[in-house]
Amino acid sequence: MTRQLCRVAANRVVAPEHHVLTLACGLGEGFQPGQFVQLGVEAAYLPRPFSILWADRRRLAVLSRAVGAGTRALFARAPGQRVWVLGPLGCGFRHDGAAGSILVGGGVGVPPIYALAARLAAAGAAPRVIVGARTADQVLLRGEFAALGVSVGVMTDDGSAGGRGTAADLLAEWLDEGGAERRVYACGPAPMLAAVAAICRLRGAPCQVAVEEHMACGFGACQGCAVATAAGGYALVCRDGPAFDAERLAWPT
Amino acid sequence: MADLTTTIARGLAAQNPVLLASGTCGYGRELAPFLPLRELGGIVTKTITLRPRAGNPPPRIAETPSGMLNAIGLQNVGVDAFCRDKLPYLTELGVPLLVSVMGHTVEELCAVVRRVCRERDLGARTGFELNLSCPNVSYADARMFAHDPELVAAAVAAVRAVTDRPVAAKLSPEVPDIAVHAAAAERAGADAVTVMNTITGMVIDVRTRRPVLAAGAGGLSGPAILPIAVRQVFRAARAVAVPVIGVGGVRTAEDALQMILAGASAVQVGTASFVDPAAAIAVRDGIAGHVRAAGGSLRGLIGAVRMG
Repeated sequence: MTRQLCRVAANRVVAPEHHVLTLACGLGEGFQPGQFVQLGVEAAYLPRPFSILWADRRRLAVLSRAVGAGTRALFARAPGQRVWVLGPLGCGFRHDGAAGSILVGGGVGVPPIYALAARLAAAGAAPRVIVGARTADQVLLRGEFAALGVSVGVMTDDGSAGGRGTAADLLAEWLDEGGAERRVYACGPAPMLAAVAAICRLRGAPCQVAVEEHMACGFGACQGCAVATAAGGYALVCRDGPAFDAERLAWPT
Repeated sequence: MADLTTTIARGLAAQNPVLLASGTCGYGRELAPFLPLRELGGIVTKTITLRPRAGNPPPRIAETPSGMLNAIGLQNVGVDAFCRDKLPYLTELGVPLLVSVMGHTVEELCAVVRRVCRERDLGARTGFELNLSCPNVSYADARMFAHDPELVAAAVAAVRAVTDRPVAAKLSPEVPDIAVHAAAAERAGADAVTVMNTITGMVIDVRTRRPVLAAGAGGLSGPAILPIAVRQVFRAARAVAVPVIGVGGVRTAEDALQMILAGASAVQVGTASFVDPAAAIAVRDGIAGHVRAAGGSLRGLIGAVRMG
């Protein structure tokens, strides 16, 4: 696997500060939803990890938010400019392509959830999806999910779109309705994932979560991206994850 | 083909001067998908301790201007699991291998070395790098072996007494004059000195008013520390006859050549592998091009800086 310098094919703002960056890059073909790529630009010393939104033989797209100097420099790249790409890295969500899933994405955790929804929908196993955001203008990929033909429940902190509350609140409702969908896949901020894990544990619903942590290398060499495990000690987000069985991780009590 | 052969440590020759630095290549295998490990000058393992260590809570990594801080906390599988699960793969590669070892006491350090030396298939090219200078074990107690030349000497002498294999002492830059510590290590029987470890640093998140790293502080690495490392290599190389292994911020062949001209017989590529996992091979290729263009050999460049 070799790091490649790839051209930006498109850079589209999809919500305030949120960009979909599409690269002319074939590295992502065949990726597992939940896997990530390391993207690098000169302005930052270390590359940054991003979940793959979608990829094919010629292109690879990520979606995230420009928050610090590094991500601002990356998402300022115009078509034709170039970005270093390494990947796909890590272990994605494990799924058998069967129906019966609920996918939960919060904030910039939505991209791998979209990737998994697309994969499942293509397999004829369209999942139900919950998208959480702070406000209506930050609800990501609503149209894209609709285009997959999956049903999407939206939750916002202020109720400006969909229901008022968290994605985890709606997940609890859906599970308690006793529908056929019991297998949960989630990605989002740590408090959301902790709530999702707790909800699933209480109801005996199998749950996988994709987590993030400060990362340097992305392939297990630096051991920087540690996440505490239920058994004690740490797993590495880049090598053992980013997708984990929720039961494998230690959650704040 | 340019002659890149060199001596990493007394009794340990290498096909080229580029090694992977401890703590940046795991147990070797982690880098295997990205570069031909057998073409390296050598590999220095993640530091091994007597018992497994879980390491520090996250965050363990913080980016800095031209570099990064780490506080991994010496997470490692412990020497028994290392010998069982990691060592066979590494010795099989056939390139010089320095097992990085660390202990809280001299006795513990020697116990780790003795345990590794009990392995039957250790290979002819395996030695040790004594991590006398890891700043990440406890910041409440900032002392380390490498701060005191007498402790450096005591640690090296004790290890010398339990193995005939090549031993490199990894020194800290956080001393008034690293030449003193390098000379102490050599007198105590070290076959090489590795110069240098990271420099302690701290990053504070102004919104939360907390340090970014859970451990509070960590070791600074990356291009930010290169000129410091070049100067420390220069000082150490003038104080010892054994090889100096330069490490600290090397990202390009030109960086490595600076260290070699300053007196390093070999260089380690560390943090640069996080940015480009094939960086070490690119450094080797660049050095080869330079040596070819200059005529002569790598050995002719070691310590060849012109002063005055």
